[in-house]
Amino acid sequence: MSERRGRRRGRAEAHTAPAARDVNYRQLKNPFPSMEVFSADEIANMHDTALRTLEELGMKVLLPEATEIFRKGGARVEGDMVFIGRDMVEAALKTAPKSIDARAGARHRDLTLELGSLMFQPGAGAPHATDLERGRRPGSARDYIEYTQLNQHFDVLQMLSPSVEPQDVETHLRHYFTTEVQLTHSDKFPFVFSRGTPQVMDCFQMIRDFRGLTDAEFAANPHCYTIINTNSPRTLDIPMAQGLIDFARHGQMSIVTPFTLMGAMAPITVAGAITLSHAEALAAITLVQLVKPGAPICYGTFTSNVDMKSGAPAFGTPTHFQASLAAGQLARLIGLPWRSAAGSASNLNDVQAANENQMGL
Amino acid sequence: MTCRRQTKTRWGFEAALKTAPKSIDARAGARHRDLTLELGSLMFQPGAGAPHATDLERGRRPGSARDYIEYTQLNQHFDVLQMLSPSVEPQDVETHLRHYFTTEVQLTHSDKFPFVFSRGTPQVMDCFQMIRDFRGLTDAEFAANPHCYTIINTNSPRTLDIPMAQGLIDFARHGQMSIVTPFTLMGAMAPITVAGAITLSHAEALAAITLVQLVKPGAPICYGTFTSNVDMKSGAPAFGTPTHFQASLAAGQLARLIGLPWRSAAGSASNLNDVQAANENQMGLWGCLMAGATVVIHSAGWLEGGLSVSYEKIVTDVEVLNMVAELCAGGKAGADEIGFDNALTHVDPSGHFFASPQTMARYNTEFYEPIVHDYANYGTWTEAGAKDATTRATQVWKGIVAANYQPPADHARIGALKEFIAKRTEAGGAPPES
Repeated sequence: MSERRGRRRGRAEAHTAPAARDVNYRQLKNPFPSMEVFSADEIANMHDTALRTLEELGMKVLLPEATEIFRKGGARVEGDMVFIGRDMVEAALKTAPKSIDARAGARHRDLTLELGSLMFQPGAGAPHATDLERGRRPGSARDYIEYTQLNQHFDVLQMLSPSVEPQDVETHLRHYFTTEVQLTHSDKFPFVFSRGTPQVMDCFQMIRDFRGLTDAEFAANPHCYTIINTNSPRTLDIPMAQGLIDFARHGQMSIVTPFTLMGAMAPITVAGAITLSHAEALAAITLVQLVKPGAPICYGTFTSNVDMKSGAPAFGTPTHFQASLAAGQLARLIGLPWRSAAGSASNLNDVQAANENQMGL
Repeated sequence: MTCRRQTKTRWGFEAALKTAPKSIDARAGARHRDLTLELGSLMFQPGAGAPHATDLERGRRPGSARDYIEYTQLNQHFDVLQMLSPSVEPQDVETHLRHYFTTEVQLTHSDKFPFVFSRGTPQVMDCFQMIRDFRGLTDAEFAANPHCYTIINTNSPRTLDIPMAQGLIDFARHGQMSIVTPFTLMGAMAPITVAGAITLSHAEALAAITLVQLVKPGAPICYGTFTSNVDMKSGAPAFGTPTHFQASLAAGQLARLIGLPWRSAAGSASNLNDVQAANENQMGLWGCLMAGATVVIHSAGWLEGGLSVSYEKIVTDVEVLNMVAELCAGGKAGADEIGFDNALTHVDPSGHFFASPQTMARYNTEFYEPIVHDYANYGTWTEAGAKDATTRATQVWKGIVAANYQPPADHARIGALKEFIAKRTEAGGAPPES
């Protein structure tokens, strides 16, 4: 009797239950405890070895403007080789902001990049697009637009990404196309490729005006970002060095990401590859802080292993996983927000693709 | 009245938790297969208790004796599956003889820690006897450590049925291990919240632990939970959801509170070994790993929320488990690994590390080699037939089944086992009890 009454009451209450879930996927905090793969001593030794690498082995910097900035900042320069003292790196780490307020097209899309916050980007910089209806093809303007629509649709993807390459748009006009699509099909934080100062300046101007900002307002916060891949090992090429300088000068954000495949352009061990990656990232952070102390820069790594039989890159492996853990430990050591990456080597969206992406994630 | 009852109950729990062992030494058929179940250790089991088996060559069918044997072969093959499991149900073996068949297959096709269903005392006693004799043990030696285990599912909410209660008692009396696992689907047989469902699951597990410790203080029992949510539109169970993940975390916190080894579970509701199946299984798996589970059940092969096990999915899930096992080994960053002298100084800017002394010393051994994942580029992969991972997995399981490995065994004991089965079969076997 009393049970029946209870049940009826339960049902009546069900009618007043909220109809929809209230979630915010736009600003996430990472709930997972940070895992460590190496001891504090080992991490300190890796950091120290990275500093020693910059001091003794040096970085090859192909842009004269950048070598000149390093030289003025106190580095020893021999031709295109730059030897960066640890005092310079330490000074840069003092001025690099630990928290970056990035401005998107709408206030609820704004992002705070700092240790503890969490953002996702879809796969980026792909020459091809594929789907079950139309098959695999070189990326096109249509693909770029559709990819931007998909990104915009899902709140859990908080930033726009280098996306898919619109190969049917001529390269001297492509940055107009990609910036226009990002601004008109999305209100998320946009991406700009570092493909030389003229393109970057065009993009800055388009974003500044579309957002209705003065130059000072634009420079006060990052309104877009770029991704800088060093040419591992120990090389910073012309467009990448130029990108670091251009973005720093205008207060826009660089994400520096050495792409260090273990056993290929990096040592075969996690400890070695991440030490090299760390050295290259520190060189880029130093350059940015020499250009403009306090300029926003995000630490990054993308380190996985190659298949030693074929030389093919592998992702979502135990080694990739450990490399992410080690990079996280170094990011916490220097206190900067950082990027890592998931990904898959699979040729189609199958179980391997799912396994690898989630393992990397 | 209420107050006195509560006090008595709490006293019972606390006493039971004092005598329940925090570390359990389980004995398998070979010393290198023995297991220590305690907080901090980690074991995986493939999907278990499924009425159906499925693979790409033969399709989905009711589980058979052949499937049971093959599933045992697959389990035995992969070291990362440390225990045998309830596996697939051999429905073509009569129920009063089925326990002879399953125990014989486990003992002769595997040297891993075997599983026994709690389907009434007569079957359980038969199985204990078969395992004791096959392992060449006295009664006292058999009772001194668990040589097999059972899984006890309470009938949530708050019901312990006859075979399950009997199983707890039988296993406790003989020093064998029970894993108690309330199966509490949130919004169905358990409250809709993680906190409510896990509280109910915990209460039921404590009741079972108390019963076991009342029967024999110190008897080995493993705490467990299997809590996920249902789809509130259809009532269908869902696995690998954020709720499932959080339920595992909460259960892990309670397990650490009481200090016992515990089981959790991964799993998938998908109907085939597709991307959903991979996503769900790995999401559930990471929930268990981050929760500190001792035994992760259903961590390979489980489809349809347990109504089916897939041969291909065992293989593709084992790939992930192997990678987790690689991570269990940890990392090292000594001077040799960091490699300033044997790698970094040997390579010029923009060069490559293929020939550095560090690479030369390690290229055969540094990385995990996948069993089914493929790193070929698009052109090579297309030329090789454009096979997806599930299709490639068919070749892997067929190779294992064809090899038909059987661990070394004493022929006299195999003879005695067969003789026992023949005699008991002639005497009418032992029907399941309920």
